[in-house]
Amino acid sequence: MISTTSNSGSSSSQSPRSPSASQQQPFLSVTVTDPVKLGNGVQAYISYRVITKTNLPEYQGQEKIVIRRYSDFVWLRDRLADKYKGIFIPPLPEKSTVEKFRFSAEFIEMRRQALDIFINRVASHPELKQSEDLRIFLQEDEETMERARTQETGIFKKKPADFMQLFKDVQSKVTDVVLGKEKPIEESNPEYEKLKHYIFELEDHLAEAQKQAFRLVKRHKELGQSLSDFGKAIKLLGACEGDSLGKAFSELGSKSEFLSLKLQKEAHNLLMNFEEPLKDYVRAVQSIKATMVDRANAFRQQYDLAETTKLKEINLDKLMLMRSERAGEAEFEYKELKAESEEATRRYQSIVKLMSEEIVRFQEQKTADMGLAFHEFAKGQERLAKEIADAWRSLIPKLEKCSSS
Amino acid sequence: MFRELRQSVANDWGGGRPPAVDEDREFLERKEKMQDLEQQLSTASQQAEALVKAQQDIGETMGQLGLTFFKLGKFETEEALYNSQRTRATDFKRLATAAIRASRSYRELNAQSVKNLDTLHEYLGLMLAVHSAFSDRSSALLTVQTLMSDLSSLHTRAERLEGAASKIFIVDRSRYRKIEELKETIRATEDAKFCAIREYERIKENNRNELERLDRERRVDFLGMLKGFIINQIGYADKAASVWAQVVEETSRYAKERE
Repeated sequence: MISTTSNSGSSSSQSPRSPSASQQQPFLSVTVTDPVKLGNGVQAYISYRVITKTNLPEYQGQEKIVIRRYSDFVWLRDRLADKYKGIFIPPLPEKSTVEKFRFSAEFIEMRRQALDIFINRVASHPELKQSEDLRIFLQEDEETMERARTQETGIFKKKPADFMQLFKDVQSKVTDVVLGKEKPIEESNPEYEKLKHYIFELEDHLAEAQKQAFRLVKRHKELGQSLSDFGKAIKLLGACEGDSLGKAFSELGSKSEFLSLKLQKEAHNLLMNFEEPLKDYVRAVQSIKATMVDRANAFRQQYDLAETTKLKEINLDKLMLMRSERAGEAEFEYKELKAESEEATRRYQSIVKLMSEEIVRFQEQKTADMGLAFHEFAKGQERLAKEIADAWRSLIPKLEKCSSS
Repeated sequence: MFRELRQSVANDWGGGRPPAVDEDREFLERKEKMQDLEQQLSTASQQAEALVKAQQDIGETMGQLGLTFFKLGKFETEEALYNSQRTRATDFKRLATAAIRASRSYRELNAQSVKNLDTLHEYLGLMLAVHSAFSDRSSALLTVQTLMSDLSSLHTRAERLEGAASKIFIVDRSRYRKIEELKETIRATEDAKFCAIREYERIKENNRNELERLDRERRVDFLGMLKGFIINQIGYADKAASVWAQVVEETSRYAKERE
């Protein structure tokens, strides 16, 4: 749960000068909680309670609770990715490849945490938090949500970009042939090249780190298991020996079993507070890569349209010179194309600008996220080590008694 | 004791080899305890090996994690465009250092654990010697019982021959010779029986002493093993706690930021 502070002009319908705003900081805080398994067999799914606390006027009242499922979150993410090109959309946990009715308690908790982090990142992002889709997600009743979610094939599919795509495919071929270019057009920006290279290499490093973290979780579980087995075996040995030696064995066995539980607990802590943040980091990098694809597409679009517009202009001049009757029509088409070309250029530049801001935010956020993850990791390891030392230390007086008897 | 032997021979009056069953209750209890001990030792020995392996694995993974974070830190340092990156690179390296140190502590602990818990494997191995001591005793007893059974049938034959001879008034030289031979065999067998009994007693005495010594030494060694194990674990845990406490301190500002 992160409380947000107001940025200037964050809310279009609220006047920053109004008395209510100046008295209290606008905030929007969301909690994802209470996972519940619904449905049976193959149609089973997990539902979550999403609690929104806010004083923003667009929202209905101080607190609102809705029920949402994973695919609702996916809907929101997709809508945001569609509308806010250039922004690194906060990542979602992956779709599970395992059968839904085999979801373990651990998996459910991991997913709940990831969804909570996702929605809070959206709610605290200066641009994304103004999204109407976010408001729908947080406020609308379940039927409305379901209708919105299943309305995939609808008006949302027909975008100007689609038409442009068609246009581009035809025109770019012509352009390539005319201008003698066969390669796909890409930005040549050394800074951006460096960024791309950085992001791709970073993903590799992080994937490796996440793998090791996951392995460390497993090792903790394994050590816990073998301590438990060892404890049991030592206890049986003690029962066989009898006397004070037997008692010493029995105490050792009990302590082993006790520490086994501590190890299992630490394994869970490691998973939720160290491994998951690393996985989240990987997902964030993948989200950046998605934005890079958007940027490349936008670049190509504006480039193709610019080239096509140039050709159209040349053609228009020719027609006007010849005083052709097609000149009027050509001029109209040229003006339309020019407008679209300028729009495409604007879109591309917006992405570039947003990305440069987003990168700064990303780096800062990741430093904070990793710092916290490391803190939790170290805390857990220190606590575990102390528990181990204390547990074994408590046996020393008992052992002394054994050897003196 | 002789009563017991006679008893077991009497039980098998039909001759042949009696089962080598020793009815010395104290011994039987001890033997059962040894068998039980061997089984528990075997299990404990296995689990000890598994424990050492698990410790080794976690230490290794911790080390690999440290290495990965060290590389990440280096990468971020090289590519840093923002201060947040440089800060993160430092954090990565701090964690890496701690993880590698923790990994080293695990390795030390493991080397010590192997030596400690070796005591279990040793005593499991000694069970073999206990086995052979028991089987020595069994065969000695079997020898005694066999000889007694032989003796018994020899006596029976001698009685039959003498009985038959006394009914015939003519002196039968061949039968007389047979009786004499038989008496000679009986004397030899009696001698052998006394030797076997002496040998059996000697083995029993040895066994008892050895078992007592085994119990005494095992008790001392096992206590030493427990102490050593615990002390090594404490040593590792104290080291690990201080390594991680340092990182907790160095990253404490991130915790506060969240609150």
